[in-house]
Amino acid sequence: MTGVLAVEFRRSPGIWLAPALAVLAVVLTQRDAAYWAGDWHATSIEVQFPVLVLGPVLAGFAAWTAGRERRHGHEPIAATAPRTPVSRAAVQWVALTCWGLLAYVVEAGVAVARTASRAGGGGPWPSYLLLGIVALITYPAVGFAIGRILPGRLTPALVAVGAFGLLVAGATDRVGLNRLALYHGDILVSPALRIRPAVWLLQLGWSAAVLLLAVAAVRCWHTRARGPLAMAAVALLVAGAVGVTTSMLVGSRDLTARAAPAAPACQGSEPRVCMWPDHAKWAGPAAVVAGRLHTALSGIYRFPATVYEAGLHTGRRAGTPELTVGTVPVTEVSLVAGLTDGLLPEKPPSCLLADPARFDRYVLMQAWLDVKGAGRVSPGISVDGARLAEIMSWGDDQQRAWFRDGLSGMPACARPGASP
Amino acid sequence: MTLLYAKSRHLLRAAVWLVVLGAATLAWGSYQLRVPHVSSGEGLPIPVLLVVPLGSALVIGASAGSAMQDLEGSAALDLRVWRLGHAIGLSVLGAALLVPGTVRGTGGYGVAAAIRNLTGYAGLALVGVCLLGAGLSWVLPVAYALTAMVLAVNSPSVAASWAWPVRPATEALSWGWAVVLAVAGAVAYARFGARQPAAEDPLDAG
Repeated sequence: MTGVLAVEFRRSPGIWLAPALAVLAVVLTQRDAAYWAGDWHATSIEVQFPVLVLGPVLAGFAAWTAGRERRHGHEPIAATAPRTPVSRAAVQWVALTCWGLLAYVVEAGVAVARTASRAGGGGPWPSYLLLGIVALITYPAVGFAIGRILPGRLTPALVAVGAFGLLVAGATDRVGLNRLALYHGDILVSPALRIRPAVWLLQLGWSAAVLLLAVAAVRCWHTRARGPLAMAAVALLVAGAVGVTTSMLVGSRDLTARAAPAAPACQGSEPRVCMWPDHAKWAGPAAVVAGRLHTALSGIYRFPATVYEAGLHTGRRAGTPELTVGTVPVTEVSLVAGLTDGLLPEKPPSCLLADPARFDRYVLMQAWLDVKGAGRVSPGISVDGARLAEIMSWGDDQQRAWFRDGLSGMPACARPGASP
Repeated sequence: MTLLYAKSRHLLRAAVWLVVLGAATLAWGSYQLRVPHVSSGEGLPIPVLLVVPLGSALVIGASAGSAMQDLEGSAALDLRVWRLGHAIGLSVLGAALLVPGTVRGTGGYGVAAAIRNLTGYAGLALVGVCLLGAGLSWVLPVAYALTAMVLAVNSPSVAASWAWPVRPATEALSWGWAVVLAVAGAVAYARFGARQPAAEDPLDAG
């Protein structure tokens, strides 16, 4: 068996595919590297991102590999081999999958090495990394089974496009299919959250069920036991229905709160800024921004002694600053919004939208905070530049008076409105 | 001869697939796929009518091979003309069948974008036919399309210039890419035909 596997490793298209997929995966991962490098949580999610391409391509090649005996007219000869059809198929699938996993491991290795050289502490999140491996095992298995049962020149292409369709549908579906696509890809998820164990177990169980069904389908096909094959098809449908139902029963939330660490990453003194260890590299810039705002808002607003990142401090009172890292790229100006939470709402109150003068004042005040905290206006704000420049040319006391005056004239509405 | 050529390439089957894809565009052309984006939980919207031409191109690529190509090489007829006609004919048919489902597209994402994508993807598929054989002609267009959708788009309104399939059809550069690929594919296929991989070649041995 080992010798056969060694031969198959050399014959598999994976030998050509793996280097190309590794390069592609590394290129895909390097996007937004400034964000995830040094952040174990984001790195672990990012490593999984190339599954979007690797999974469908491997599934397509698995379907292609599965048709080898038929393409070459070797089916009658293969039927006389001492090995069972399932073991012959398994060897082909294992070889291709291992080559695909090699590409994934290379890509993960590059990303992990990059983060390890910058991260202050912590380590990779196995849940995300393993989910990528599970997906890269499962998608080729399904492709292989389909390629064996429905051989044809278009089958590999259809399998690849279908796998991508499932990943796309799963990644955006909010009902239950998202878990069955075996993919979580939003790197902006806070490290305060982790995958729920129930969701993780559901995905492992789903993968195991799909693998078993793929083996059963190949076996039934080769033994010409069409009755069992029909049963396997029905079983697949039932498994799908059970999977979706179970997924719905597990609840709509994929993530759950994570316990705060005993030693968060803290920087600065006035105010002190504490962040999740995964976001340690942002603590310094956040402390600088917080210090500037503290000075600029002297006499108007009193910062708490310590400002925490979201999810880090359970005793936070509503309306107090809370840091959020939720944009790519993270910049000093993107940190201002969380630090000024409670002073100015991030979105304008709905009643302001009907009052252009007050709305303009609100936008100017937001821009003023941006400039004071980060030295520039947030790219999302469209502001009267001449008016802002005029305000910035005033003395510090006059600027504070203008801001205080604006705050007192700001109406309190129940609901925030749309973004400006 | 025409019938023989059509039968050897399963052109009727290819035409049926193109009709099915045309019908799919008619039914779901205006639907938007939300392609997962690494820094956006909601995903990026890409109209289905930009993706269906990929399927049409795969059909064209799969139809380009023949089991009798070695034998055909000994024929007195110049098969280069036949192959060119085959590539152009199926592409025109595929494009015509996409039109009813794409007229509802808006802005730069309508009929023109669908035809542009079919043109470019078909060119890639035909290049794949020459390099890898008809059975693997799907690899280049699929790998390129997936990469363009997940890598090149940084926000709903900005895509890299090399990602021509997701750019609006009003941009001349996107047409330039598609036309160059189409010409390269058609010329290469007409000149060389489908690659016939050797049995020991891992790509075909698959």
